[in-house]
Amino acid sequence: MILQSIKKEFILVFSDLHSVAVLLLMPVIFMLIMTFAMSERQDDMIHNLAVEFKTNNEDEQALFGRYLAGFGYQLNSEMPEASASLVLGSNLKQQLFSSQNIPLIQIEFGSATSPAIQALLNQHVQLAFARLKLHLYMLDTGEMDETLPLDKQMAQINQQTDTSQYIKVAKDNLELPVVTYSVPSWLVFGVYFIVLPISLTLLNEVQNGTLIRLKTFPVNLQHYFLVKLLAFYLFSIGQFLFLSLIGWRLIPLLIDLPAVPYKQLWELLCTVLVVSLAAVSFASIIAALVRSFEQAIVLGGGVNIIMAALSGFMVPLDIMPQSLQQIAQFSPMYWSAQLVKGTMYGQFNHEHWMSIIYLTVFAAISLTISALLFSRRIKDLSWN
Amino acid sequence: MSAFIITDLEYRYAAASVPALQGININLAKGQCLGLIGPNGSGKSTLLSILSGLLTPTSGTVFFSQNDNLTLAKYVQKNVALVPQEYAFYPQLSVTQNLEYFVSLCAFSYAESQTRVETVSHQCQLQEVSNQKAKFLSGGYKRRLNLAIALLKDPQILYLDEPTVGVDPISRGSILSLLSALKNQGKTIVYTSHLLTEVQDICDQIVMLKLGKASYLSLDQGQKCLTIEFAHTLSVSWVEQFSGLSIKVECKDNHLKAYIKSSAELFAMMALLSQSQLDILNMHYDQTSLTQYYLNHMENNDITEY
Repeated sequence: MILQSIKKEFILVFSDLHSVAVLLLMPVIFMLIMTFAMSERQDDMIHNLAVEFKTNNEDEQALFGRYLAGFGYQLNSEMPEASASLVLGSNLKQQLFSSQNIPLIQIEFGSATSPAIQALLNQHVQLAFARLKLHLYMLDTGEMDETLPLDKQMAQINQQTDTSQYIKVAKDNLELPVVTYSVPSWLVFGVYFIVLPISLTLLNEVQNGTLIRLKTFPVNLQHYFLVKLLAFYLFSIGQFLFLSLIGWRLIPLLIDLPAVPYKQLWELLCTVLVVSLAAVSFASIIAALVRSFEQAIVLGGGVNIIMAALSGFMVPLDIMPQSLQQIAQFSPMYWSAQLVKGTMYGQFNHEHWMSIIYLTVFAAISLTISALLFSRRIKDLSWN
Repeated sequence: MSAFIITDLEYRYAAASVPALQGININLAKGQCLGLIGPNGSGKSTLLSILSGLLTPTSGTVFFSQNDNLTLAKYVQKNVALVPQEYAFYPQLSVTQNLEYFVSLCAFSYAESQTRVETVSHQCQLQEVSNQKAKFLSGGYKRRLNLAIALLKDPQILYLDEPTVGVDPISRGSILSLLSALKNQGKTIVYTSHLLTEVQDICDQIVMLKLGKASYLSLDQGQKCLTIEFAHTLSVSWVEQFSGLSIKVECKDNHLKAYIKSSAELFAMMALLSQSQLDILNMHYDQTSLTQYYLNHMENNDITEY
């Protein structure tokens, strides 16, 4: 019975193109788009930014502009639809060394400019001011040879303010961040969409009388429900491995990043088993609850999308308010994504082990609730 | 020997003011076919749900003759099969895949399962479409597959809910022949349908349900109906002559229907007609149709037993 049930559920899923698209194609497309979208280098983002720069042609203002342009910005004096507009005050040298805190620059951002770009430009404007101030100071004190060409003076300032040599970033972190941000999130998002085929196949069985027929077969329907979930659990494991292959090996290659190796196989195994179990268990509650195809799509899809948003899949968690970040700590999708990230880096820490425990407890509670809901449901079955 | 006995059965849905079924008494012999007829909402589905163990009667009993002392649910799982009106199978699976899946739910060995699939495919003439996906089958083959799945566990009792709806005459003929063959093999059948000619053809007992109450009709295959249209309205005194012959008659204006059970009754009836010398405009002598009974019964508000 178990083998025949597994075979039946696999045929049902694969013969429904919508389910295949939702479970396999949609997450691949999301992983591809999001990874590609986030793969743009900071240099490229800055270079493509349209910045309007208004000055009174004072020397110090021009020098500030050159320091800012040194980060890669293309500055234009007139640009009606700029992403950002910078207006410098006059008497810059005097104001820079004044003890009064008077704003020296006014920045206006375009409505389409993202918060991340705004923060980056702010940071670069501050750095440009710091370099300008140091430059003027060194000229005043005679530490800078004012006969040197301006380019050489600037090179000297840039060299003295360069602190990058003090920071060491792990090699993996340099190569993987884009992939580890987008791939785990959308992989987990896809795996949790197992809710749709489980709900739809069960609804079909209720509506065409198959479940009533099964009630008169010598089979325990609770057992039948569990075997159905087992079939989808196996499917979910296959889906996870397929998506990980695409997300870890193929997508990085497409955007010129190194492929993510499968480091610790036992960690991968733990992650696959626990994440798929949590996804199928959660889906089983929805499947036992919904009474129509519309409910299945709205409730199953809707809950997943809300949970993904709260888990930081759509907007990075670290730029969310503290209250939303705390809510994410209670989301199974968040635990799942954290676990997948840990597996990609090949190093489980305390947080990952806690995620495994949370997901296992969540799965146990979900399965108990769905078994109760399903019992009630089959009790109400009668011949229509 | 009885297949099942229903005694004083009543069922009331929660919060319903009137019972869905009341005072139902049925004793169905093994190997017989019971026809359940009645308009939509008359209680047929409720009765089938109770017989399937899906609903528990509010009062009264359902007793299945058995030696194993099983509970109703266990007895149903072992000996009873349903053929719902809907296509209760998986359209995406082929005919064989459907049969293999459902037989895997029965407690058969692998070899027995294979034999059951082959036997049932042969019985329902499904061999030539065995590899076709169920959703691409014609209506007739879908009905046969629906029936074949029920036969997989080799049930002693079979409940069929309108098993020939939407089926062409040839397929209907083959389904009805199969049911007759099953009956001859000793299977007990409960058959619901709105196609009364089918019910009349294959059923031994008929229960007509109306608003949850039952009328019991034992169709005497020899009973025929003599329908006469006279030139003039008949007098009450003339019609009363028939009470002495114990022939059941119905009279309205210039029409008379007489239900004849034997040749002797027919000859007696003809003699009376001959003596009366009434002008006859039209006369039919035919098998009494279940449709006639059904229409008469449903038009009357009272419950009549024939």
